[in-house]
Amino acid sequence: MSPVTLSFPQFPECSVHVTVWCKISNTAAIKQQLMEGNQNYGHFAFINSDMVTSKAHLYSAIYRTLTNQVNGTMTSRNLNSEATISLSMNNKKITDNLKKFGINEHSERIIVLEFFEENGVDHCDSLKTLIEGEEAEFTDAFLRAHINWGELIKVYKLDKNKEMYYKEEQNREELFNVLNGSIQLNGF
Amino acid sequence: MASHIIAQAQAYLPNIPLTMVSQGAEALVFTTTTHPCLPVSEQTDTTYIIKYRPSKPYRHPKLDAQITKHRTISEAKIMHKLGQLGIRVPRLVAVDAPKGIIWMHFVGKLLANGEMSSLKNWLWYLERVSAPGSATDAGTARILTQVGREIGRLHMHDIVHGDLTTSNILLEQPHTDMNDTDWEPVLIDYGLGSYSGLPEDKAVDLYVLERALLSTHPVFSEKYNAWVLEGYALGHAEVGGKLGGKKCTETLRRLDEVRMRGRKRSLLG
Repeated sequence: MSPVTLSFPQFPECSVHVTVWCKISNTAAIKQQLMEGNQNYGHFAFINSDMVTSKAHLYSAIYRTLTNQVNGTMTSRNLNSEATISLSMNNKKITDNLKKFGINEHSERIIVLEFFEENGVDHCDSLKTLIEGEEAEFTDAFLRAHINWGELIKVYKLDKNKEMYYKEEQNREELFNVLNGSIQLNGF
Repeated sequence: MASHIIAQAQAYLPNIPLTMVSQGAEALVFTTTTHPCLPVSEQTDTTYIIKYRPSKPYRHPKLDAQITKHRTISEAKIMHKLGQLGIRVPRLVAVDAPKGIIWMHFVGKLLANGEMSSLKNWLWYLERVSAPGSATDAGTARILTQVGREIGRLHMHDIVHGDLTTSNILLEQPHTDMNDTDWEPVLIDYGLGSYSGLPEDKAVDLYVLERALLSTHPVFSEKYNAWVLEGYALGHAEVGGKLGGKKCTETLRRLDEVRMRGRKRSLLG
């Protein structure tokens, strides 16, 4: 499967490659390499797919990442880590957020992003050698099926009593509105 | 002329087609069909609102940036909060606070005479164009009661609007099966909104709307107001039950005082 290429209306000079992986067996090793600063891994943002409820949810975080870059208000060193922590509603705890929204020892499913400039090189081919797992399709259905609700409710401070409500298919929009608002207002 | 301000907005929003719909002292409002967060490949033709607070040349640049950012965030936060509380507001799409830009969902539609469906335009339409008597019939009563009810619910959560005029109340038809005379009110523009539990601030909200109704719809304003206040009590009872009734009485008592002296509490400034 080839990566999905996204470009956003206000940021024509920057594109994002998205790939989704499941049944991964070497997450601990990937995390180790990231912590050691291995350049081969540094090209990508590794995002815990269980914390992403829909494509729009991820796009909201990408939008924050790119506006933060343009405005010079990034809170981390590069776009990859910025994209990961942009999913949160509290950008003060960078390490915590990387743990929650980034790759961890238990993740079996991850979303891999790569930001690259127009005419720049991308490294998506190398992912096959870095990740031991299967590629999945980047769809709302896939994301929706593997939400870690317990953790989601905790990190977005959602109303616990509304868990069942949010899980219902017809209330997706409302769940998204809450998450989106939290992401857009993160840090202010 | 606002041309240089529009040019600045366009420079901040590259590749976003902008159509200006209103200009106030504080902000410009545009419509667009581009969603800021969605990739180019997934855009639809939905309409969105962009509210842009331009920088003011007479303020010190540092202070100006601070004020713009602060006001933008405060407005977005209140909208987000109200959305979560289940009060009808335009839903937030995106915020670019340092640039003073808020994106939100479009609310309202066009009336039969081509005007935007604000409460003001709609009442004018009934008074001037529609069949005689329709401005004071049960349908109108229902909608003005709904307006009061929304304000009551807002105040029960200790949020005051700050600028309740008839053009800041839009009417929409959220369900496709609603007929032409059936509307739900949405309060918009939280630029002057704030958190306050004081009966004084809430009473001023009501007073401002009362004055707005009086000046734009002088013939029926008394009736309109009575309906709004009726709904206001309903909104309180709905959210707060017995306690709500108490709060409502407090605010209405205060409203009598405000009516006698005007919106400003002190006569200085």
